Order: sequence, then C-alpha cells, then structure tokens
Amino acid sequence: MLNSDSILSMASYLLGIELRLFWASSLFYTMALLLFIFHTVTRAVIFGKAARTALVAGVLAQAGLISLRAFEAGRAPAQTLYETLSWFALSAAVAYLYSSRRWRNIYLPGVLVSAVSAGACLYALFAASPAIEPLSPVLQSRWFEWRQINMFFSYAVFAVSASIEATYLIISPFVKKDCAPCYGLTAENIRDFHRSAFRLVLFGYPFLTFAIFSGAVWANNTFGRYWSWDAGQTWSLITWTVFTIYLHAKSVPALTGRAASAFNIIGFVSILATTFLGVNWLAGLLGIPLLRIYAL
Amino acid sequence: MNYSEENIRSALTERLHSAINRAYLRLASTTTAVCILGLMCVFYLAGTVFPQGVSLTEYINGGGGFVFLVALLDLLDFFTSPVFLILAFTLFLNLLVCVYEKYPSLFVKGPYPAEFTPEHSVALTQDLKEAFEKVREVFVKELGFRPVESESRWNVVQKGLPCGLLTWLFHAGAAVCFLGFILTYLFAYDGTMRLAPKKASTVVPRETGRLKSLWTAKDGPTDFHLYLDEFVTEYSEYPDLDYPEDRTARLAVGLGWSSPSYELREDSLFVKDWKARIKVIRGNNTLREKTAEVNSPLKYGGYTFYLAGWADTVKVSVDRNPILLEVLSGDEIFVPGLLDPLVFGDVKSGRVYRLDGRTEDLRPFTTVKRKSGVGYEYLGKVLFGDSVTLNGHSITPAGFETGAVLNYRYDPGAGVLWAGGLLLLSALALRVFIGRATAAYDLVELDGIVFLNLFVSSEGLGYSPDKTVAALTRHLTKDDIRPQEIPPGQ
Ligand code: HEM
Repeated sequence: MLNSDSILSMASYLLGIELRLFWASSLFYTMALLLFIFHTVTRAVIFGKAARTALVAGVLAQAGLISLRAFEAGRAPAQTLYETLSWFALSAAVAYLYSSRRWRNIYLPGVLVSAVSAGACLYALFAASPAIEPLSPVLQSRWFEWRQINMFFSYAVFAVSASIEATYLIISPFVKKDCAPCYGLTAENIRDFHRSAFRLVLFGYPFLTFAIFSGAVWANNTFGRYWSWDAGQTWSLITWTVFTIYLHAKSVPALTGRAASAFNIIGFVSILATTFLGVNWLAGLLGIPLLRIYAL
Repeated sequence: MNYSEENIRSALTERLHSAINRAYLRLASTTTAVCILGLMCVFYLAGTVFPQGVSLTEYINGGGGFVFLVALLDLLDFFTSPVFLILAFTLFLNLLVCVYEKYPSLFVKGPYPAEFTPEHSVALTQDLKEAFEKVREVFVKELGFRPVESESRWNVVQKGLPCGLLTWLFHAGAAVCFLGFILTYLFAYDGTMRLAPKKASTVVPRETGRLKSLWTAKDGPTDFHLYLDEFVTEYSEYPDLDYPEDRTARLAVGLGWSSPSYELREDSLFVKDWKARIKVIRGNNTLREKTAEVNSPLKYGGYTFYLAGWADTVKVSVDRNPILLEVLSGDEIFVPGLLDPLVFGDVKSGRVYRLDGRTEDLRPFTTVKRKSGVGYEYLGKVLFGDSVTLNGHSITPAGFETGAVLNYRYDPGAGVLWAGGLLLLSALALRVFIGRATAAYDLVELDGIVFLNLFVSSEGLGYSPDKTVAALTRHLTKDDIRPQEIPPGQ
C-alpha cells in the first residue's frame, strides 16, 4: 500500500502533467485563432487548413488532460469552474470539427469557435483553481454530474451554431449568383451552410433540456425543492428559453430569417455572459446591490 | 334602431364571443408563443438582477436604485408576483390551446402535395414497369422505407417515427410540467425538524400550501413518528494544493519551471458523507426503515425527509461534577464560576478515510471558544474526556449526542413534473435524434429513356436526404440499372 507522501507526490506529478497539457491546448487554440484570422484577412485556404490542424492538436491535448483528470479524480471532471471550462472548450472545438467535416474550404466560423475555446482555457488557467477537491456530500450526485456535463456540452454546440449563424449573416450579402466562391461559400451551398446552424441548435437543445431536468432532480433530492430561482438556474432557463424561441421562430414564416438568426446570437451572448462574466454581471452593471439573494 | 334590452344583450354576447374567438386564435398561434417566451426571458432577467427575498427597506438601505419600479412590479419577490404569474399562466394557456388544436392533426396522414419539385433526376436503362418494381424494391427492402398512401401522382415512401405525434407529445409533456408547477405553487409546503437520537418525533407542520391556507392554518401532526437509530459522519483526508494565484507564476507552472504540490495539513478533514438511520414507527410497528443520506431522502406518508445536516449536543462537566450541563454546539453557555460564556464547536466523530486507504474511528473532539468583547477567543481543540482549565475551573466535554436535522416537504407537484419531464424529454429526443425521412418519386419515360425523379426530405437529424439519395443510387447501380445523375429539370 502506498503511503500518504507517495500518493501526494504522485498526485502533484500528475497535476503538473495535466497543467502542461492544458497550457499546450490553450496554445494550440490560440494558434488556431490567429491562423483563422490570417485566413479571414488573406483568404488563403492554406491558413484555414493549418488552423484546423492546430484545432485538432488542441483537441487531442485537451482530450488527454480531461481523461487524465477523470483518472485522477475518479469521477467525471465537470464539477468545478476549472473543469467545466475545460470541458466546454473541448466540446466546442469537437462540435466545430465534426460539423465542418463536409465543408470544402470554408473556415470562417473557426474564428469565433477557436476564440471561445482559447478564451475558456485561458480563463480556467488564470482564474480558477486546478485542485482536485473532494466533493461535498451535496454535490455527490449522478444527477448533478449529468447536469454539468450536458449543460456545458450543449452550450458548446450552441456556440458553434452561433459562429456559423454570425458568419452567414456577415457573408451572405457578398455571396452572389454566378460569382466566384466567397471564402468557399457560393450561392448554391450557403443555404446548406446556414441550415447547419439550425441543425446544431436542434442537436444541442435536448442536451440542455436534459441538463435542466437533471439539475431539478438533483435539487429536489438534495434540498427538497426542484426549483429555487437562484441566479445560476435562472440563467440556464434564460438560455433554454431563447433557444426555444429560436426553434419556434424557425417554423414561423415571418420570423424564420433574420429574426431567428438574432435569437441564435442572443442565446450565444447569454451563454458567454454566464460562462465568463458570472451570473450576477447584469446586477453589477446596473449597480444593483446583491444583498442576501435566493434563499433555497 | 331598437335599443331593447334583448338587443343589447345579444350584441354584448356577440362581442364577447368574438373577443373569446380572437383570444383563442391568438393563443393557438406560434407567434404568440414566441412573444410570450420573449417576455418570460425579460422577466427571468429581472429576477437575476434584483435580489430576491429581501425587503424593500433592506434593498433601499443597501443602496438599490429604481425604487419606484421595484415597488410597483414587486421585483424583490418577482417570481411569485402577480405580473409574473399572469404571464406564466398565459403561456400555459397558450400551450394547452396549441396541444388541443394539434390533436386532430395527429390522425391525418400526409397531406402530400399532388406534385413535388424533383431535386434529383436519374436516368435508368430499364423499361418503365421493370424500373418501377426495382425502385420500389430498393426503397422497401434495402433502405427500410414503407409505402404511404397518398393522393399524389407521385409515389411516397417514408421511414422513421411519426414526427407530428412526437412534437405533439413533447408539447403535451411541457403542459404536464406546467401542471406540476401549478400543483407545487398551490399545495406544497416545507419545514425543518430536529431528530434527537433514540427518541420518537412527530411531524408538526408549521405551514400549509398556498391554496389550503385559505381555509386551514396548517395540517395536523402526522400519525407516525420518526425515530433516529444512528447518525454517522464520515470524513476523508483532504490535501491542500500549493498553487500560485499570480498569473505569471501560473504560466511558469505551465512551462514546467515550477510544479504544483499537494500537502496534507493538520485537521485536513473533509465531510465525506452523513448518514442517518431512520425508522418510521406507529405504536410498536416499524413501517419503514432507511439510511437517509444527503442525496437520498426518506419518503413516507406523502412527505419527503431530506437530511440537511446534524446538530450536536455537548454535555459538559464543570470541576468533575457528575451533573452535566447540555448545550447545542455553536450556542453560548454560561458556566458557573466563569464570567464570559463559552461556545463549543461541532463535534468531530465518526469514521475517517485516510489518503493511504486506511480507515479509522476518530477519537471524538470539539473546539472551545470564549466570548471576549464583541468577538470570541479561540481556546483550542479538546478531546472528549480531556479538560481545559479556565480561571481555575476545569471544563470537561464529557459526552455528546448527534441529532439529525431534517427538512421535510410535502409537494404533490413534483411527481407530476417528473412524469411530464420524462414525456417531454423522450419524445423530444426521438423527434430530434431520429425523426423521419420522406421520399417521393416519379418515373417518366421521355424519348425511350426512363427517368427517376426524386424528392427526399427529412425531419430531425437521424436521416440525411443526401445519404438516402446516395444509397438509392448505389443499390440501383449494384443491380445494373446504371443510373446516371443528371441535373434536375433537364
Ligand atoms: C414551454 C413551452 C414550449 C416548448 C418547450 C416548446 C418546444 C418546441 C420545440 C423544441 C420545437 C422544435 C421542434 C422541431 O423543430 O423539430 C417546437 C416546435 C413547435 N412548437 Fe413549441 N414549445 C413550447 C410551446 C409552444 C406553444 C405554446 C405553441 C403553440 C402556440 C407551440 C407550437 C409549436 C409549433 C407549431 C412548432 C413547430 C412544429 C413542427 O415544425 O413540427 N409551442 N416547440
């Protein structure tokens, strides 16, 4: 049997490796971002391809560090801020790589996706603690684990959808019939490209719904109330409602165009606001005191 | 014009009917759903901005602005304010009308248009009758489609799940969830109770659900008792991480110039679990027995009992006096001979899981503090049976009892919500991840060449029209019908 000192030095050693992998994946995502920006400025396909490769390298490093952490912690690593941001960054990059696999020479949405992934990684590395903490009895629940995993996965998928939506909104006025492809987009393929934003929201929506549902089951089992209107829960409900609006807008002819696109972008903003600014940012912005909030 | 009473009445009835009709039509529309959901978002936002559950005075004293608006819209208790409840109820009505309106359409097949616009055209080298048989066979046998009756000139085939039904089911699920919320809002209540060890306690509710409180102050005490057999606390050893806060120093860790390190400090015990062995008894009968844990409540008699924590009673002997004083940990106690009150901390007792895999039982201890001015002076950790001497008096924590703190709740809405949620989630998942593919095809002969005109669409993510066309073409090629894709409309 190992003694405590050996266990601690082993844990410290593994954390050291994990952190280096994390820094490496942040570096790859940042490189991908720069290359995607070069591609946007120069229109050179080679930069787009290189950016994709950097993104793949980032994904591999991050998949490695998440697996390592799962092994170290003996649980799904999606509980602390450090862990959820890491999971969010990986999911966004993977969702982008998967959804763009059939596009030929279209790399524009990569700018926003790599910015989101790099931003999440750097935020986790600079602002959060990487310590593997024991979970308080309250958090030791499969339902809570499912909530975290699904919520941040769906947020990542929505982030990719918004990147495509934003690209579409910016680029579509420049894509004309019978003209040379604009960043790989032509009058023929741009509708298909835009449709993938809708399909991604459709894909992510059940995950977010399940996350909210499992969060309610967890809260009910733990505190005796499935809903308590705390800021975290309410923000996830805001995001869910915005995407419900988006899906409905897609089936209303008058709203299916720009209005629906706007809802997709608003959903993304609400995700960014909660993930990076915290749930009380708006109160802070308006100078509203936080006082004693949200009794359970 | 005749303004008789009857005429006025019938004109009013007519107006009322037309107003109800208009309201109904509004409520049946998806655009209305979009508007209400949008407003709901704004309301949710307001609920995250303004602190909930504080009084207006506290809010103003804390420096809060927009006071007029806050008071007018009840923004400090917004989620139970009339404005919010009315909007939420309107969404519920919207959903009900929508579900009711869509119900008949579940039994309608199609409708399929008489003509489809072909999106793919394939030239076949067989005669019309043979090609027709082959295409049908490939669709049915190879691709798993089933023919659908349609009045269209085109042949329609489908595979997958009935999406209309699934969409209806998840909207119905959402409506059931709303019903759960309403039941919770009207009938649920909760409270806290303390179970002393080896004693029977009865639930005496201090509240009754909102609706019931209109005619009764509270429910009576339960006819069963809860009996705490045992309370166990488990701890695990928890190392601290020595890791810099500073960004540059963190970067240095990333570059491998320094390493993070875990260290075990003294008293680094972390509560791993609380377990309360509880019996439900009536007279001499044990009706239910369960070890309740934080995420695993005990359910009985419509109530759910959640283990919220524990409360220790410390028994103190002063100057070895066999008559013990009793105090709840955290409360102040005046000890004879001492001017200032003492406070005993939580009792640490139970099993410890050490980092190296050993388990051991803790020798129980507590901490002692003495009130000094406005604060407390920490006097240290004391093992049970040991003493601290203060002003010449020996103070001995001689024993303790650990009771369980339970939150109890009665909520007839939760079960309904789970049922609705399950319906919503399963129908939504089937609708989104599987969905349905519809293909319509037509075979025409032009100048002796047979053309297969195809239109394929899909709902949900399970079937891709492109993949269906590719698979069809592959199978037709395999059977040597030599299809040749040509641009539509040629
Ligand atoms: C909180 C309540 C609601 C939720 C969670 C919800 C959820 C959804 C979702 C996820 C979709 C997209 C399905 C898809 O595109 O495949 C959808 C579609 C739709 N919803 Fe709702 N909805 C709600 C309320 C309503 C209400 C009140 C109405 C009626 C006025 C409505 C009418 C529709 C219609 C007509 C569609 C399009 C169906 C189709 O394309 O087959 N929904 N809803």
